[in-house]
Amino acid sequence: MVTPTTLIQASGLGLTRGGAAIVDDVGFSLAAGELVMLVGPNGAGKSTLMNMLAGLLRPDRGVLQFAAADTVSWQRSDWAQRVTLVPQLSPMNFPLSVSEVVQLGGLAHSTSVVELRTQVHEAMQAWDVHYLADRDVRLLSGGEQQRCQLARSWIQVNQADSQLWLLDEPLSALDLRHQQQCMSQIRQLTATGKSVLMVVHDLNLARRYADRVLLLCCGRLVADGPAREVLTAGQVTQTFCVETLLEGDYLHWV
Amino acid sequence: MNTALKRRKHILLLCLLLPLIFILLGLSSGSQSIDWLLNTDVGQTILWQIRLPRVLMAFLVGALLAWAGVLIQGMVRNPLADPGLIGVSGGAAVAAALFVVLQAAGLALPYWAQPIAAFAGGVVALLLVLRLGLQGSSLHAMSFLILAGIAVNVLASALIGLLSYMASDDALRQITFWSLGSLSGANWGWVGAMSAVLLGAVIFWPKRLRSLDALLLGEVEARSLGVSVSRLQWQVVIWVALCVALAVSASGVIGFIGLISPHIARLLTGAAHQRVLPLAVVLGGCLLVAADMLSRVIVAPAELPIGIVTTLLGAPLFIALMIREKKRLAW
Repeated sequence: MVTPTTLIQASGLGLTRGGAAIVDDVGFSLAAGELVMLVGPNGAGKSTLMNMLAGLLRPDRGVLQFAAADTVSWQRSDWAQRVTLVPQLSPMNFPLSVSEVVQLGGLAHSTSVVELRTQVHEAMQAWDVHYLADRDVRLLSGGEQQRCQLARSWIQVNQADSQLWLLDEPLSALDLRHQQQCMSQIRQLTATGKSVLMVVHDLNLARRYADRVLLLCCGRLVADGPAREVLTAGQVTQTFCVETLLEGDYLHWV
Repeated sequence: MNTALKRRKHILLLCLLLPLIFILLGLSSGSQSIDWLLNTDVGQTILWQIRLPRVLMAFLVGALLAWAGVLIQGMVRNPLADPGLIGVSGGAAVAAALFVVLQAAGLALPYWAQPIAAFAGGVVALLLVLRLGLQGSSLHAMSFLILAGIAVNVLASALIGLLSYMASDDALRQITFWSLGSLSGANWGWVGAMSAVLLGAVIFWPKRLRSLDALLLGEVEARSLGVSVSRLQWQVVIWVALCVALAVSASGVIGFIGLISPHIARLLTGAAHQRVLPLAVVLGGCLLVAADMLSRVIVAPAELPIGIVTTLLGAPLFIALMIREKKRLAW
């Protein structure tokens, strides 16, 4: 087995807005091919951290290294070629069709028209939206919209240069079957050496699938380690202020 | 979604045929028959120096307003936005009104300087809006931009009201021209200037249309797809200012064309800019040619200000679209 190479090395990341530290002294690393889940209560700074890792927000403090290179001088397009961010769903006002939205996943990389057509087809199959291809995205259900968005980012993240997939609550609107499909796609991707960092609220799902968990609270990194070591009943009780018990391998809330 | 017009060649055909039909219709409508125009010397002069530039200018003004409409609606991600929204037309109309009042007050200002003043007014209003609205790179910049546009428009209409109150009868009529719109000032100079801007837009925009599509998904989405959003927004703002200021300088304030044309185009082809933009621009041109024909026919031999025609037709259509949109969202 090849030793995992470090993809992301973050140290002392901090961002202050309106006098409050939204992200404070956060440092961690991410190895190639790793699936890491980011958990924490509302307002912990998870989405802010994701935006920093996608280059959308510049941290006030700290250093962010990407494959040992400093990211300070990167342009928008450099980020988009290496990092694929799937933000939380935002409302859509225009009648784009599902295939048109998915096709935009090829924007960051210069792909030929023919190649892109194949990629769009494959992505729509992989995310089970091929039967919606001509539908107006505004008329889709929340889960269908989420799959459509995932299919779009699937094209971007599967390009050769792309190394990191950032998913902000990708499962929030998906049904059970599609949640499982989503996790298996993510596993397929990490098997090719790309890394995935995702925000989830389902702690049992994190315990089951994650290689590692980052626990964020009030902008600070509280714990970083294997899922079962970080998400203990005691830690969860303390961080989320909900009485938690571990029964078998499952966390329960009283 | 209507997919009948999804094929590129259908749109291309429509974009080539519609302008031809409407321009011919526009040329042949008027108090004198086209036969007389073609077969007498006076008629020839009227045809080449009055009717043709007027019809072409109507088409170009409509096309520029529609182009601005597509861009501004995409940028603020709201299909009900209008290019007038960012204050350009208000600013241009104020400058033109001020010019008229100063001239009437005895200041020796050359006649040709009026459109230049209007253009300058449009640019000043735009800079004011940008200063208020686009400071910093806050996520709320877009709503600030619109609020700033509204503030500048309100200020503009108050100033026009004040100038109208102070104006002499003759000056008042000219101010009315600016606030109601008219194509009677058409000449080949305007046609040339507008063609040049339109050509510039045709060269500049095609390779940026997919970035505009990405912007429809949301600002964060577009940026994560590699689009430099702030640069794109600046490009949109500058082109909108150019298109609208030029149109207003030549023909006064003509409402609703920039709002309605992209809307109709989207109903026909969906929202992808590669199809919407050419179709909307052609529709905008044709609509204004048609509105101009109406304005000359309704109270012939006099003519109704064209802004009244477009607003009378556009406002009910706008209300209908809003009701439709509301129903869709209530679903």
